[in-house]
Amino acid sequence: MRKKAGWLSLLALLAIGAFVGMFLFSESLTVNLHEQSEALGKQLGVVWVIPFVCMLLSIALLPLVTPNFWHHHYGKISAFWALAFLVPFAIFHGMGAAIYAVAHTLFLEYISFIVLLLALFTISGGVCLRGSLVGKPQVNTLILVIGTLIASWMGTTGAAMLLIRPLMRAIAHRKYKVHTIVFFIFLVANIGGSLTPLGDPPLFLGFLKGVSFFWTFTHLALPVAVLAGILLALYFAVDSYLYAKEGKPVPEGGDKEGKLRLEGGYNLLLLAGVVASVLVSGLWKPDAHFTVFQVDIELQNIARDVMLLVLAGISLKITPVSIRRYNEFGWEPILEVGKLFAGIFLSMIPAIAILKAGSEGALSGIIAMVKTAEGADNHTMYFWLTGALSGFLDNAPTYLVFFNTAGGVPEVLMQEVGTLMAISAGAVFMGANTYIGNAPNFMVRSIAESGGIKMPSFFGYMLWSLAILIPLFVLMTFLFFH
Amino acid sequence: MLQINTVLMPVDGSQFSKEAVRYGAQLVSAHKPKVYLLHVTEPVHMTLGGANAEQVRQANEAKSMAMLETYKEILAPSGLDVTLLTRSGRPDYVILNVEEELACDLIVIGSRGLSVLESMVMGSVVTRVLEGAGCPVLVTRNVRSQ
Repeated sequence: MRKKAGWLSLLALLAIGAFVGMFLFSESLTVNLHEQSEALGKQLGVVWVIPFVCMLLSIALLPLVTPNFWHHHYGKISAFWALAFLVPFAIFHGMGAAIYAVAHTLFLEYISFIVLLLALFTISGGVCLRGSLVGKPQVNTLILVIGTLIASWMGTTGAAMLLIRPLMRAIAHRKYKVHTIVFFIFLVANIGGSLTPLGDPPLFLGFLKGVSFFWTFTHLALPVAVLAGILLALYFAVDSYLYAKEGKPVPEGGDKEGKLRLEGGYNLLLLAGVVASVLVSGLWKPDAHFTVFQVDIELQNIARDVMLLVLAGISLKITPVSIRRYNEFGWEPILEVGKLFAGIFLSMIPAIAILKAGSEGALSGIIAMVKTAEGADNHTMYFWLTGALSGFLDNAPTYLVFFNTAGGVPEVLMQEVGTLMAISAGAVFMGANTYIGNAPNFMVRSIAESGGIKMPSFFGYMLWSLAILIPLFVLMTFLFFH
Repeated sequence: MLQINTVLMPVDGSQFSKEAVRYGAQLVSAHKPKVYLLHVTEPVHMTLGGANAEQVRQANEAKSMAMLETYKEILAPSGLDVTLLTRSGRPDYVILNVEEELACDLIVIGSRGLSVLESMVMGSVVTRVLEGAGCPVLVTRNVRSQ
């Protein structure tokens, strides 16, 4: 613990030093770093994307290949790939350009992203649904319906954390449990989060880029309703069949958990505060900003992040320890996400810059893939490419990559509708294709396994998604993304 | 009469916890309680699952058990009935959950003290155990050499 605190103190000192250094250095610069970085996108070669690709491949493969090494060193691996881009970039393009790139990413994307996740994680970790539910098909389906409906408002992580334990208790007496957890991952940990920027990290990144709060709700409500409706009906049919096959079991023993009840319900009010804070930051335009190393940080965004931290602090203060203990709340998951995403966001800088350069950039091949012969956006390709990469890499950076591939101008994309719909749906829906597509997927798997449910392996899970999700995504392509 | 049948001793490998265990054992040995030595390990990261997570979990558990054995040796002269426990998670919550689960009569825990910065950043496991425990907690600090 003392060692950890020592590291934290050192990091805090380094951060303060870096901040002061940035400020002093930026004062001495006469170059317009923003213009310089825009121009760099056209000059950078594909080789600059290697650290980003390696970072994502490390997340996908190292936990499978060398689990012990990954467990002890994943933070260093993440830092290594960030530096593998930053150090050569500073050498070849100057210290000013490198610091500007870091400041831009930290202040306009990474910090807000982590603060939102931290707030949703902390507040939803203070809500606890206790009591006995009997895992009949109707009850299980109802839990999935509720999870799907709330995921867009408390985040897929929050909704999954709130409901996974009650669901596991409900099905504890059942012989066949895996299908329930798999459908839970499909619906609550992924598809349900498609409707607002709070639902899933990629959509929040879109919001930070300028996509309005209700845009996804307006345009994705129908596709989500169709997809979730089919999945819920299918789950009900499968669970009813298996329930009958098991001989309609009833739980043994007494009712230890008592009546169904929600504890820490006031955290739901704090969640409403999160929604309001994010919403207001999209509507309120005070036209004021702070400039750090030529990066303009708008007042409404600072106010939102501060508000989110305050709400998380209130939740920590007012929620009884007993609720957090019951939820086995801890900081490890958010630390893990924070470390990994620091590496992702930093190593992603050149890929984003090149894609922003469009057909003049080194990744013009990708741009050509998502265009029709007439030069229009190919929605089907956007949906499937964003989706395919979201499944194997993380869906948040994938969304950003394709958002920029499509031009990166939110007003144009919102007006054109089809492309942004395809990117948003591809990133969120297909995050369900693998365990690593979206953070709550492996959180749910980990909780299910610790509760004694033998979850399928990485490839075993993919068989489920190949059999169930892929045919549905083909259907969605015909209905909405062509 | 005072009943001390079950004593929980959370340890972390530090000299402070070794002193706490030694001191606590001498204090309660007259009651002949059952002693549970608990070590809390870091949870397995989320990106690991299935057989891979199990592999890391087993490695952590083996390391933890080896460390607990050294504490068991410290307790050997007292002749107490000692059980070794290893769990993963957030230390204060795990300690309190185990205390509840085993219906402990006493928790003995060593305190190393925190700097102002450490307290601000992380708080103290000992403080949170004191706040949440359902039984008396003995916190030892600066134990004089016996």
